[in-house]
Amino acid sequence: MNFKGKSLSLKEYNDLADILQNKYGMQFLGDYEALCSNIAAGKEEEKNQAKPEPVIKQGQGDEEKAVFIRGTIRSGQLIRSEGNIVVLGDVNPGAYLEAAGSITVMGKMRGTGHAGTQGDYSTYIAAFRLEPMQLRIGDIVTRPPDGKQYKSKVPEMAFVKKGMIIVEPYLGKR
Amino acid sequence: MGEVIVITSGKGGVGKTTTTANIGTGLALEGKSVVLLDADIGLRNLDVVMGLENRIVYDLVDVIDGICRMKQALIKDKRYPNLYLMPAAQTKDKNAVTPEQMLKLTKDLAEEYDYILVDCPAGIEQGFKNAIVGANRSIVVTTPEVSAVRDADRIIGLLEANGLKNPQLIINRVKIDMVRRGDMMNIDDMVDILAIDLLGVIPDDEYIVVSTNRGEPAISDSKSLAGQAYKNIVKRILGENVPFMSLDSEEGFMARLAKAFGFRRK
Repeated sequence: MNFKGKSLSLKEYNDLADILQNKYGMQFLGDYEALCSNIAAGKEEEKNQAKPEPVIKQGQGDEEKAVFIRGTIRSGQLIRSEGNIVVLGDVNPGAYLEAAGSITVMGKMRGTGHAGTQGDYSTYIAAFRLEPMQLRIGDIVTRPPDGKQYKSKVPEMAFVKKGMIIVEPYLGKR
Repeated sequence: MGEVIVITSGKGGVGKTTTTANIGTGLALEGKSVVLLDADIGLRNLDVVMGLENRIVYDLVDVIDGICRMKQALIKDKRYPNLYLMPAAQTKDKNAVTPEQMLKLTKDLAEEYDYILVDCPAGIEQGFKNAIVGANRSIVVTTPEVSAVRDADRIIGLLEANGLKNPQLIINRVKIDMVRRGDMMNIDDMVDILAIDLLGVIPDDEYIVVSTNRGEPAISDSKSLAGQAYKNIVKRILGENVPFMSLDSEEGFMARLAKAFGFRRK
């Protein structure tokens, strides 16, 4: 397992190692010196590359670049991320979310959502109430059926199955 | 220092100008000194609605260009001595004014008057940017139509992006009997989507058309239902806590019966 995050002081590092080993019974591989030199090397690298090119990883996109938003996303607003998007609030009709990774909306999703913009079909779009204008995952496009306005009653998620976007409740069936 | 309130909607024809005229008149009735500023350069209407068109000598662009002093362009209303109109130019367009110039003008006006109401043009271009630049409060007008609500949503986003937090909502032209039948967009649904504070609901009222054409704001008529709704809005702007008007002006027998027995309808 690998972890990334803020740099640790020696004491924090030892405490963390202690907790991981004693409390969770995990084998701890790693030493502080190496970590520090890694960080230093990383920083050095950053300095050398004045503007580091964004690296798009396969899988869930670049998780380090997730965008968190609190509030309502309104018509005409576009949120773009090279990783995932998490919205704490509603996404209104006419708003756009575009993520190389997945999209989670902790509210009503009524806008257009595009997950896996780099072509990653393992991404998903989940919302507390999924009532979207349109959903796209990779290059697959879908929209809710015509007719009466769709009202969702449970949290749902959309994902790709056999080349099609499927929408299902993401909480276990009760 | 007065307050600068911009009245905007995004979509055209939802009643920005009528709302500006009525709220302005209402504030003047409450004894405040008010300036109505028409920012719709090239398509001015506010002077027509106020019935002051034939008194225009100088306009907003003349003030900004330094052709006249600010006071010379302000037209005093025929009925209320503390109500003034700053008309827009009709022969120029929106690009005749820059946001910096508008900011200075609204600042100068706010130093001398209690309320400056800016009637914003439709759209999100230069005219909109000019209208909102000096404002410290904003009112979004919409009607119960999907297109108007969509545009209102866009406008709220732009207002918030420009530092005008907490815009307030006026829903105009609500047809009471259609709402009752469930054929019109539900007010709760609209407030739910737009997620801002509701300042008032204006019922659709034929009298508004009559009063607008006559150049006399409906708020000055006590019989008009819409005028009553505007009066309540004015009180809310002044910080009073006025309950929302019941949209059932003529209650049915069952409703009265239910009320008499203390049942509450949702």
